[in-house]
Amino acid sequence: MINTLIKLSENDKRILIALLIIVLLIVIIVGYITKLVRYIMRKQGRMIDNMMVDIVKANLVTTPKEFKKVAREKNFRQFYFEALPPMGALIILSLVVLLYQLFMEKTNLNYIIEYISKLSFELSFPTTYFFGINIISDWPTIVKGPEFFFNFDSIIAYLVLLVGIYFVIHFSICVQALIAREWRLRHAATTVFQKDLDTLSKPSTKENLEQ
Amino acid sequence: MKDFIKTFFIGLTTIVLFVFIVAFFALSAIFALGLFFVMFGKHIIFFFQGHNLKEPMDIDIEAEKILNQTKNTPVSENPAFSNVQTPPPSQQVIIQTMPGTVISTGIGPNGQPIIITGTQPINNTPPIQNIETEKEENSND
Repeated sequence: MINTLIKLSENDKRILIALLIIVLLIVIIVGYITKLVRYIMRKQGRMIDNMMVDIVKANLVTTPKEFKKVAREKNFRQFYFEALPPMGALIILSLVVLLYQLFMEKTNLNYIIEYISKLSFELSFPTTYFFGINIISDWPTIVKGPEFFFNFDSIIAYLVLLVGIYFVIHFSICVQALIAREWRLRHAATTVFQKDLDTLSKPSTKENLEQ
Repeated sequence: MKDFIKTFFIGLTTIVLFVFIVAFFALSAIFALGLFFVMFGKHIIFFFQGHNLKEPMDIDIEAEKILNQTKNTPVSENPAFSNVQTPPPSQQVIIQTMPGTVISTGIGPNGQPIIITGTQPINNTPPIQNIETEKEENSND
């Protein structure tokens, strides 16, 4: 049926199989990355257990609402101290850029964008025509490499880039940990104070023990 | 194979829900930024009050006190166990049970389970050993 509708050449079939393998590989890699992120988040969420175990043991918190209130306060404090280095770096950098702008009497930040864009690679991807679409068929060739400069403007631009990368990565990890702990505390609030009838001791008879 | 298929479907779900995941994360990041500044303000207020956000909370100190008290106080003097009344040693405990109801269970010297029921005379049963003491004896050997 398909053969009568679509006629695939040998080359088309090869490209189709290659595409399918690539898609499959990407999906599996994404799956493993998701698993890794879930594992990391579970570990980050465990911090709530360390924070709350003594309080629950001492019976100072007896309801899910109280538990959530105390755990959330601790979670926010933890986040604040974790996020202090990247936020501090960003604030200091902002001050440095602001002072530089004032001293150099610059009115815009175009020079930062310009120097950062000069650091990028320019690549040329060879393509193949397949079912009316141009698909990448090989590794790219480098048309232009990164260009480095050494003046005040470029140094500020590189500093912005480096601090920006550090801020994005570190702050993302902090936010991820914040979400993980929030999930954990919500889950723990329901499970820690949950009453389970199955755990109550049943009247023990010989028949029960034999089962 | 099962794990592989599971990973494949997790990957597929992630790709399908990627836009929502990114949106949720972006919203969380915006919330976190706001939260940081709120906590920063709180930190400053705490600083001028002579406290520090890094210090343990009052509830933590209280919990530590209670737990230390529980650790150091013997069970008989511990206020947490004040309601528990133990019978005097000379008092004779008589258990009245229906035939077949289990009074006690344990493990015999050869490791076989012992179940003492209402009709079984207690004196004729082999001695019941505590599992923990048996384990200790084994470890000492």
